[in-house]
Amino acid sequence: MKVSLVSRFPLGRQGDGVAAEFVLNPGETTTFILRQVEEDGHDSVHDGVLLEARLVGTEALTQTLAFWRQWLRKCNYSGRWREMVHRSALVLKLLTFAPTGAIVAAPTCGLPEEIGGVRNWDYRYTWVRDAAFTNYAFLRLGLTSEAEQFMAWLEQRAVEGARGDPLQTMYRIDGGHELPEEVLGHLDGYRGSRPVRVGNAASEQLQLDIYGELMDAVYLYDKYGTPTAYDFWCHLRKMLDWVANNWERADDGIWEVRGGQQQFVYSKVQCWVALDRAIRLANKRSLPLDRTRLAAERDRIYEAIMTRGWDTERQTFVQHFATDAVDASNLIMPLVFFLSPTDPRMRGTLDRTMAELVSDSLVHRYEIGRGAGDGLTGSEGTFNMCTFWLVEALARAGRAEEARFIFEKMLTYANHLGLYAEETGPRGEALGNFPQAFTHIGLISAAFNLDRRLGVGP
Amino acid sequence: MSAQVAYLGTTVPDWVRELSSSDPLQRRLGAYALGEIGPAATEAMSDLAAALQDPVAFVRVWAAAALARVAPSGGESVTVLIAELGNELAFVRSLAAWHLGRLGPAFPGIEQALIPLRQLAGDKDPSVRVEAALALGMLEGKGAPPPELKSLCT
Repeated sequence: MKVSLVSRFPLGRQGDGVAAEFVLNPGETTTFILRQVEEDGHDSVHDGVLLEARLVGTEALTQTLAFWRQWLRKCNYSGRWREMVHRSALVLKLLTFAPTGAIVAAPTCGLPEEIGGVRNWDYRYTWVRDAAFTNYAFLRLGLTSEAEQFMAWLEQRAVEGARGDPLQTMYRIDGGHELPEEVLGHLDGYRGSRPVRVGNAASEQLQLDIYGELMDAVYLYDKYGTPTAYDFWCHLRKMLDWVANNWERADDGIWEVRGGQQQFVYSKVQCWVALDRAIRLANKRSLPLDRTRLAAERDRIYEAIMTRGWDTERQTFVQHFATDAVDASNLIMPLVFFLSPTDPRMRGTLDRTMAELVSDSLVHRYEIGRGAGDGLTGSEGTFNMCTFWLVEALARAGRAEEARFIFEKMLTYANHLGLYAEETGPRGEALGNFPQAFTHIGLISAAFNLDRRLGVGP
Repeated sequence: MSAQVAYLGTTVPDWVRELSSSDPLQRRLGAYALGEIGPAATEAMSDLAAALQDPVAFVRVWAAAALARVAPSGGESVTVLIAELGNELAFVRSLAAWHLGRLGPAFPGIEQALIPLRQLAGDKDPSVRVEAALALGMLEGKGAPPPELKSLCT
């Protein structure tokens, strides 16, 4: 990509950069415009149109501010921590690729989850999971036009999936399926964090949870946006049929572990969500569906989780059916209405998660070295999304003051612009790709639900 | 002596050489740099005067503004800038108006610019109208833009 820097004051070379010295009179402003030059090399700067047009810059700034203020006015959130919720909504909007409606997980690649470590991934793609959660956040805030664009993108992927293959876990923003992972050995990486990778091999993994997240997005869009069209429903039914036939398979899970497939509890919960939302939607809209079969499979999933995913001795749900290790992803259970937030099993899981995965109120997603390994060496920070899930689970369980303390402490870990990376390190530093949609989605949802439970008036 | 004087580490002779570049942006930069050096760049006066005839309008404007800073007593700069207020390109008109305002009310001969600047109040281009109004604000001693234009300056 070529860019040009436009300035009313002529710029001269200085070392590797450019510089200008100039004097502004009282009340004067000047504008610098950094802009992409068209691929054919043509740049209207050379026509002089932009070169001297100081007010173009002022106008552009005014228009930009007006656009974002106007956009944010559509946000209907009026609760506590509004500035941070608004900032998170802006992040999600800026992660949206307008031509297709696709939403990237983060705009960066290779930023490490541990300084000097090996968990350096490329997040410049659209994960079905992350995008579906983003859609939920948009709908929750009343931003339905963004949700509409994304649903159109999602419908295309569902149509492809209905031809026989399940959905991919992630796609390119143009809907492309090819994301070959490549190591860029000639790069040192951020503060020596090697290898630097582009592309993402996790696109070839089986992650069963994405169907639940997708169906929840469809269900919510039907509720808050536009009723589901029949043709789309037909594609969804084929996909749901696949879920009913395949939920018992082992998969790679939400954390995309590279240490072998397992019967992950989170994946099962989301398969339950997929079938549950399908049945709810069919009933609400009187849409044709093999309700008997899907309801039977949904209930089988429920029982499987309650028997094989539950550790009676430790009173907690576990990461997968063959371990006693806990996993923070199970905090989502009450958030998706899998079970009551005050169910003794959920209370037990909350307590166990806090005892084993929480460090100074921040949550690790799992214990490295226990349960399903990710196949890599080294460690990682606490996972911001999980911290927000903990906040929400606590709030829903009636522990609102505890939730508020963790939430407001978490707000202090944002940078000066209110942005978060994927993880937070032991010294409060941002780790992983940045800014990350997942974290900001978690913030919005936690703020919304915590605010509601705290009641009117701060 | 002039070898001691520099802008962005480049001396007057080297900036004068830029005035002969085939790239109008480089010629513009050369003129601007000499203007930043100011009276210490007197050896460049004749080259800047020659640049007032540059085939590219925005280079002529920047050369006139630079000459006004290098030799503040000369009236040629004002003449050129006033002439460019009638240029067919809107951005050249607005640029010339901006430079005239920056010369300030004390600049010799600047009063000749007041009427042409007032005439730009009816210009079809909004940027030109605003720049002319701002310049008039500076030259008529108000020192600040009119209230209705304040939003464009903040």
